[in-house]
Amino acid sequence: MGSGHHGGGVEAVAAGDSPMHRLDPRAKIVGLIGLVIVAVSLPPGAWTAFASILAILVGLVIIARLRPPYVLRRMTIEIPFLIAAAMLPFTVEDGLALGAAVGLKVTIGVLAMVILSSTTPFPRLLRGFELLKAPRLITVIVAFMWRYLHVLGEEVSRMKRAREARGYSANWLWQATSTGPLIATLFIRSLERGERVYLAMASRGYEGSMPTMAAERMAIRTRDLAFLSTFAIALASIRILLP
Amino acid sequence: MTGASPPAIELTDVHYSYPDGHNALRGVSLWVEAGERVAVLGPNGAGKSTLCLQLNGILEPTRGSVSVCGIAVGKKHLKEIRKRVGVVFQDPDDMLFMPTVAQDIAFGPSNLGLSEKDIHARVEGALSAVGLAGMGARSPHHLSYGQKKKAATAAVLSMEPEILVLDEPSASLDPRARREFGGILAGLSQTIVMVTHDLPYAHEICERSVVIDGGRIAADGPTSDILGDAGLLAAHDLELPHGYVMDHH
Repeated sequence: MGSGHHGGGVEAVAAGDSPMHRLDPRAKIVGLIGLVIVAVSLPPGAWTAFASILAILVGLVIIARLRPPYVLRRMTIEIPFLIAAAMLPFTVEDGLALGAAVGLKVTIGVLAMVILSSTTPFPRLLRGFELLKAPRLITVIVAFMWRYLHVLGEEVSRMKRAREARGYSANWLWQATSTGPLIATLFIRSLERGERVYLAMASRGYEGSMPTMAAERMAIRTRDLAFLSTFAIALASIRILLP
Repeated sequence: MTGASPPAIELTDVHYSYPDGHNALRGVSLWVEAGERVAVLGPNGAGKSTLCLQLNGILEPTRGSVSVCGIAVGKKHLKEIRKRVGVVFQDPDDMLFMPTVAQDIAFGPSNLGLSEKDIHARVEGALSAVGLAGMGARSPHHLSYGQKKKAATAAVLSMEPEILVLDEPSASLDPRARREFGGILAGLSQTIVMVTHDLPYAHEICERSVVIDGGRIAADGPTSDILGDAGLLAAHDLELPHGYVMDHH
């Protein structure tokens, strides 16, 4: 907790420039989700196929000019899944192959999403999903979450600072007992903010349906089609030829 | 009243009590002409913010009536009212809820059902009106507090309201942002109702002031007269900053 609003890392990187950054978000979403689906559908033992997919992703990391330490740091999110996969050899028959396959699938999925989120500014990503006809309710919820996560993050660090300013020391046992009230306070504040945001929305003519996230035009260009068709051919050959 | 244009705002004996029984307004009558700039002054808890929310129908009077540009504020005309009355809330984070500033400014015009081309023009117009031209693609959390305040104002201006209602416009602004924002407000042609306890700010922007205390109007007149009446200010817990000298413009 607390470091949430420093997500600056991913935002700064996503605001960068590379051939990957310049692709239409829709092309990236479809391509990378397609890749993840192919990876998930691979049977344990299709090691060449897994390796080829990983190679494609590493290639994208290079094209996107993402720094390896950054990518690895972002990927730490998968550690719990890897630990779970590492248990498989000890618990089920053929667990080694199964565990390796699960670990590879998780790694591929996470790496693909790291590439997607690190080469596409969040508002464009949302707009991409919206244009791909993702359910409006979901895109709107995610948009609000993303926006107010930053506001809440700031509120949390202010509260923590206030706590420290009054002589609080971050001993872990104490941390545990005083984090409860902090969360409770945060919950109340969020509730109140939610009410005020709703009033502000109603004041601007909100009547229950969100307008699209328009304001930015997007066009599929030749390079997006080139990217998608290359991707499709590569994935199809991996899926059909390699296992 | 034939021939003359209706007042921008007309409150007739407005009473309001919150669901918890607190009587926030106890008979407020106020008449604001189109193009006037009125500061609503008063101590905390005087009913200032409650008054703001009456003006665009977020709250409805328990007794009395509110009308805006000759239209009675109520469920029936809510859409029309909200198009004419823009409210800038105190905390800009409450107003900027879309992923980018431009999308946020487009929110109001989209709700009005304008075409994409008109919305785009309004977004650009509103951005430059508040001095944020070219910053539409930014996310609100990448703006300074002063810029957020301007963006929130642009989000209201894009609806091209006839009346602008501002709740504590100078709160939490640093001196430079406060001055810049005051300049923006002074350059607008809208009728302005501004709730504040920043008395010099009221003096700078509004020619008329209304003092509200205990849910009633305690004084109404030219800002310089009201701020010059030390007894009146003291009676309603209002204070000019130490050393402030009134100049009459």
